[in-house]
Amino acid sequence: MDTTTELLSPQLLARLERLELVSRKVFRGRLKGERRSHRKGQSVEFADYRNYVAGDDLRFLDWNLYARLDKLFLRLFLEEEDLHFYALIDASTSMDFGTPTKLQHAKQLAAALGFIGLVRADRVKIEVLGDSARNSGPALRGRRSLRRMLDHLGSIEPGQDVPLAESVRNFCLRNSGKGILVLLTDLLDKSGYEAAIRVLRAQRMDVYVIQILSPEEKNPDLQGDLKLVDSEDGDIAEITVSRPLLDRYQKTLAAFVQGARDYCTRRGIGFMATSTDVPVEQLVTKYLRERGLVR
Amino acid sequence: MNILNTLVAWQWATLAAVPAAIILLYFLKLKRQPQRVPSTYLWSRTIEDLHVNSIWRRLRRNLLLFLQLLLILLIVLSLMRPGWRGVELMCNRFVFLIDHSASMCATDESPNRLENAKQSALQCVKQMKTGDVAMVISFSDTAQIVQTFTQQRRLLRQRINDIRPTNRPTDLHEALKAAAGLANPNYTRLQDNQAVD
Repeated sequence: MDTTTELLSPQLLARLERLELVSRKVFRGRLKGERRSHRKGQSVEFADYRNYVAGDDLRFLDWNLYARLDKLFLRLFLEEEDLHFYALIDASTSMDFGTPTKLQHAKQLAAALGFIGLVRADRVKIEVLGDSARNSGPALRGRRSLRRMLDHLGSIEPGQDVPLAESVRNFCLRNSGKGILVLLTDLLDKSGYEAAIRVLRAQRMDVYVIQILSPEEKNPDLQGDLKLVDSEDGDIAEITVSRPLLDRYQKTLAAFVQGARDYCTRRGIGFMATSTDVPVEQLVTKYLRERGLVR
Repeated sequence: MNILNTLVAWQWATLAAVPAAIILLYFLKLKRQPQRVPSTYLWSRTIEDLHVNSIWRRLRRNLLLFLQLLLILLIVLSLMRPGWRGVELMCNRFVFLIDHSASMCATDESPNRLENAKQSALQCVKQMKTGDVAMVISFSDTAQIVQTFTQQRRLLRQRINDIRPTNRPTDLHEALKAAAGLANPNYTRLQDNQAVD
């Protein structure tokens, strides 16, 4: 049970069970689920009547109406479908920082959201951003798949440094289905995050971007003359730490986060910036609830 | 201000090299600690527009460097031995000999030589400390005591101002003899024979 307790504490599981993933759009699922759709089909939820046409299933005829009106009517029901939930985890080297690491935090978030989906009989797929073949996770359904989901999450290792846009495009090519997509990343990609978000936007999914930063990035504890080495591409930035420089950094960071927020919001994409020191439980049960991702 | 040169050219050159060397050494010693960060993305954006004035920024924050440079500057300054050239009264007994012969009426200095001489004498009077005594002798071909030894500076000033030009020739010997006799009577007698000549 170590993976389970590591990623999701029992207390959290108990709280998550009461939640459900909310899609702002109604999507057509593949299998029967617990979600109402616009399609008419079979369920207990009555939707409408329509005239009988030769060839309709006789089982759905309303015999009471026939007795009363001597006409054949067909009873229609609302179809209940499943929802596709995708969690995309950025496992680049830059996510391997902080205590706990940003990647660990992303995994916990993905596990929590995935668990909510599993409990509600949605189709959950957790993927790692990176090259296509290796990282495509299993499509999971049902509470019994929790174990498999956590195992898959546990097997994710940092160090897959693929440009954000490229890996997102890769994912979109493989998963054409619609649904909810949560992108867990730090957005610290030198080639820019905009291209990636444009690709996601074109996918017509219900997209949420959760930006995870570590406290070390928010308030860098640096001193003296430093040569900062980028963990991903070895790029070097020479700085001499001083109060004005740190203030400037804070401003740049705030502008960066605000820029990402604006970019996403303007495109109908949910955006949330979080830090690894915010507990996952609080994040899911409070902030994501406010954003409307879970209910 | 006058500067008394105490060093030769090559020594000056060596000295001038010292502040330059300090600045140079300061930049050479700057060794940056490597530090691994998740991404330099934000940092490079932060320092992007700071590159222009980075040298000045770096200098501004280095008090120690400036203290070193200041020290060197002070050493250089002291080696230059700056000073003012002027007249300072060293003793406590003075005799002011003021020439008021015809040649002192020359106006090659403005307003004329006598006025300037009187001003110089007044400056010296001003420097006198309490307890100092002075006398004033005006001379042309004869010397006459305008004021005997006194401590009263006001009186001395008044006497000096009262000196009027004459149209007589100059005899410096006469004046010196008179002054020597009055200032130091015993000494004067000893010197008398030589002085007259």
